[in-house]
Amino acid sequence: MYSRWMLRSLIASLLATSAHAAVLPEIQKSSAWYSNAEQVINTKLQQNTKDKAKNVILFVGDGMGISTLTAARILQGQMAGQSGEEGYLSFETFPYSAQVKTYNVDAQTPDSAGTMTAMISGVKTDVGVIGVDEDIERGNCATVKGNELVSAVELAEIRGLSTGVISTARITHATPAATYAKSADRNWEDVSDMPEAAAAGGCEDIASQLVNFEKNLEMRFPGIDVDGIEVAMGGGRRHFLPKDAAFNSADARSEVEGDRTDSRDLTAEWQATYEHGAYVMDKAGFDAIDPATATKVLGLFNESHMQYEADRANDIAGEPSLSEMTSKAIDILDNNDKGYLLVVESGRIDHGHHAGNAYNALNDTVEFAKAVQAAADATNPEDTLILVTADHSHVFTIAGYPKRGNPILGKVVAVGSDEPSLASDGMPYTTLGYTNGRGFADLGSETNADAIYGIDPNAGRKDITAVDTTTPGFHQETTIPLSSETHAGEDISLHAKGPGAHLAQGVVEQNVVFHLINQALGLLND
Amino acid sequence: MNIKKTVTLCLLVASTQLAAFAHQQSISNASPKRCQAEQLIAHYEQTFGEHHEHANIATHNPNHNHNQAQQQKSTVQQLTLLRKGNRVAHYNPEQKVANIWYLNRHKQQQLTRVFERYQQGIEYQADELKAQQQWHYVRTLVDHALLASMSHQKASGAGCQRLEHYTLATATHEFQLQWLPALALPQSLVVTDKQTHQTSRLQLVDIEYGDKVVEQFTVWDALPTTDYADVGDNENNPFLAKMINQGFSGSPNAHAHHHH
Repeated sequence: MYSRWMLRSLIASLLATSAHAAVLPEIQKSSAWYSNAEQVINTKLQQNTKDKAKNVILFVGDGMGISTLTAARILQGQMAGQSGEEGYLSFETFPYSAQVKTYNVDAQTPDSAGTMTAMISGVKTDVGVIGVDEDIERGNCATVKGNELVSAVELAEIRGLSTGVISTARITHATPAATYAKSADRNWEDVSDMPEAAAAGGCEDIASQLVNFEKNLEMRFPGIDVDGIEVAMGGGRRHFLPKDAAFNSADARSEVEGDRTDSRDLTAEWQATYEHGAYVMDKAGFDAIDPATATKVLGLFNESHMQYEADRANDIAGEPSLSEMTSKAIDILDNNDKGYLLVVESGRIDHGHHAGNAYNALNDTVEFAKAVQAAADATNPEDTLILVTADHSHVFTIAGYPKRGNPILGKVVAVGSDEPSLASDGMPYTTLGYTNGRGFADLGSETNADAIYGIDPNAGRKDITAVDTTTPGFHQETTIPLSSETHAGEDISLHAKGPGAHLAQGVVEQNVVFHLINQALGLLND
Repeated sequence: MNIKKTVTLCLLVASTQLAAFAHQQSISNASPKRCQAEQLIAHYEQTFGEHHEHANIATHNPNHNHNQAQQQKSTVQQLTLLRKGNRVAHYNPEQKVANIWYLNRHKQQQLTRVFERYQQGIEYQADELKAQQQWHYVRTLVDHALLASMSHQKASGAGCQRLEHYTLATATHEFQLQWLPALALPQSLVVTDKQTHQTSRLQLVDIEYGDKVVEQFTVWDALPTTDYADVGDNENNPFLAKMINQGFSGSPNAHAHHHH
């Protein structure tokens, strides 16, 4: 029963709401901006959130900071003939998001090793180390023992879920490695990368840990029975093959493809362990995999990193795209009724930025968004939590006052003008730029961002009046000359959809990502 | 020009420094004893920045005399070319840096740059080789187009000792080449700028054959390497951090004089 005071308040409130609504002019209420935004709120009010998921897919765009998202969404729209600014990358339409603090325990600006360890184990750690806590001494094998963390992938295996790890970088690179390996140094990708003392001290290289994942996990936790990572796909064959030309793959680019100095052929060892598994190294092999029957897949599609998406057609043997790898992995993993945990990294966004080449960084981000959409299309939103985030940012900026619809890779053209704006030095400038790095280069139609490394750094202002800055081979200007553009320290974003997604909110530490996965899958429940 | 060619040529110019100027000097008599063109070590001396005759340039620049005096100083550098089948290395003994190319069966050039002082190497992306000219330059130190455009003047000797003389005069430069066709190497290459009278010289000093080539490549192959794409993620490695922060390209002559 309402009290008289409450009734009075309710009537007053209703009258006030009605009066406020009447205040809005028709031009405001009928504006598409207004009604579209109102619809967003109405949609959020109707959301029915669940806490538990059967499956989790964690997408990580390496080096995909906020400015990268903004620029990539504009590029995506402009490639579709639109203005660009009004669009969204696939995951930017997810209902929940958070702002993520990325620093490492010992570093203000982080690296992928420390950040991915935080996301996949729930514990922040030092820069440059994989799957171990901050008590580690980087590069010291003796400090690994006792400091190993357990990753969500390992926990998922123990609970009987299927697991998958995909990357366009080497599968032994820092981000994918943090899902399955423990290493005092991110660079110990194979035995030849390790100091003799580390190998003699019992530390195992990262590639070997991937192949021995099942055995190692069962040794660490006696009594458990796991069946190993179901799907591992990426680049990095060199770390799995002996340093012997006789083991070269069909599309080896080096005289001797393998780097291993212990004569081990890890691809053969993997095939011996999983006799019904499929080891593939090119697009034809990838296409031949039947996801309905495949139980284990190891795909190593390049000697080192896989190609940039824009350069993929130039690969000798052919490589699948990130979208294709994601779709196939889901088709294989969802054969397990208990569910799965899949980790997908777009590793070369980071490399495009390091090379100071926005075209490739953004193009790979657009492909990353397609992979997320492919995952959303292939899964049931009622039982699958999809998390999309980055590990860190880059010193990549969107600057000046370009007019709406101005080509994001172009020169700044101001509102009301058709000519590029001129800086105080009388020269035009691009909307996109880098604070540091190698600086300007005009490589025209070159689709490999790393081609820049054959040219000396060229920082500072350049006259780009006659240069087409929208070509794949254009490398943006920079202020501070460094031979590789650097990571940045500001926060990145987390986007979430599916059961448990509503817990992604606010400003959070990066290691919260692990707890979102754990909460949704109940990895640590008895 | 093809963009990928441009990138490759930048690396080549950095390694051989042929775009400088020196004046003509006597030519070494070093010549091959045997024809082993696919496995050899050729030692060259490069001379840059000497004037064939003094330029007489009027100027009101108060720094002119100082600058001119600096420009007249010649620079002498050593360059060692090593060949082993589809692998070619250009080594600068002063910098202790080697550029090592490998031509793979897909006609891609893979470059690894070895820094002996740091006992590490950097791998560059394989460059698609759409024209044989690039590999010709790496393998012989002479641009294929230049060789094809030169006029044959005379020849002496026979077999492995055959020496061919070529010349070319363009609107801006004069070229004189003494070519060893059996080895596909220059005995000497002298380039003179007609306007500045500056010349550059590439002079063969000595050639070695035998197992030393294999041994040297084996030593370099044993060094750890890093993809250049990974350099930016390795600020904790002192060598790579130096690459990131100081931006040194590592080219054998990166700190040498440039007189373009």
